[in-house]
Amino acid sequence: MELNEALAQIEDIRARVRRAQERGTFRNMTSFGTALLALVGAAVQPAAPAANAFAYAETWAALAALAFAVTVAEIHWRNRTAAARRVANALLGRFGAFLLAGGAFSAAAAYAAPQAPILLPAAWILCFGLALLAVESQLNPRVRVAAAFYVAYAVAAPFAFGAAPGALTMPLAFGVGQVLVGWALL
Amino acid sequence: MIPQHSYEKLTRTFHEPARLGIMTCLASHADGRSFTELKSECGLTDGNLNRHLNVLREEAFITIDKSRARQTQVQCTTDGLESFLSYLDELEKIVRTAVRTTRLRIKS
Repeated sequence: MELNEALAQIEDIRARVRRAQERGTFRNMTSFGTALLALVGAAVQPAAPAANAFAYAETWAALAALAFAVTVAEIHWRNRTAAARRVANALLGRFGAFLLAGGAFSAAAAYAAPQAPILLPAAWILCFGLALLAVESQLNPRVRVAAAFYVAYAVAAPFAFGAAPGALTMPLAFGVGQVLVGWALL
Repeated sequence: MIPQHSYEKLTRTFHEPARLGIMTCLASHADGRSFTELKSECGLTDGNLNRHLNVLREEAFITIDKSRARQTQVQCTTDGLESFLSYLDELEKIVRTAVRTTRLRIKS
């Protein structure tokens, strides 16, 4: 068999597995839906994030938890069989571990460096991007674009917004990022 | 240190063409396939399919549910899926190395 033909066959198998995984896990409409939470966040977050860093962190942590809960509920509602749920749970478990690590690191940053509250959203956004990379092999490769956006945003945020997050820091990250995730899963 | 050409993730269980077909079919359907569907999609006889399914089940790569009245349902386990994806990665690595080597030989 031609080597290139073998490579094409491997890619074909991988694409089929990926489509099945994708059908069983994240849905693009759910991602677009969670992107709308960015607008809610923009409306309810403290007017001056820098002066209310903890309230700001609490608002966005609550919205992130809500987005995750909506995603998990939707996945479980759609996947009735035990095997499909096992696969979805394995993915969600890997994804959730990164989110928890991001939350824990953000809390540590808030305690150790209260003079730089930008580290709170930046650390969490970075972990969110890494979480997407961790599950990317079982989703569509286009998810890498969304992951790259989150990671680049986290790195650029301190340079763009300074030591304190601005009113647009999280709405922009979460809104654009989730729209990109939705696009990747189309 | 792992030798460069050990290919330890190249699980022998998946190396058999019929089992590769069965795993591809199961990994492509998150809710599994019935015995009849697998038989027709993989082009195998009852006896052959049974034999290969038992090999995969012994390695805990699949589960076989015979509790349904008329249909035997076969599903891929999470470990089975992850091992299968690792196997594909390793296989792809080997083929890519072969493609590179062949190109170098042709150039020289």
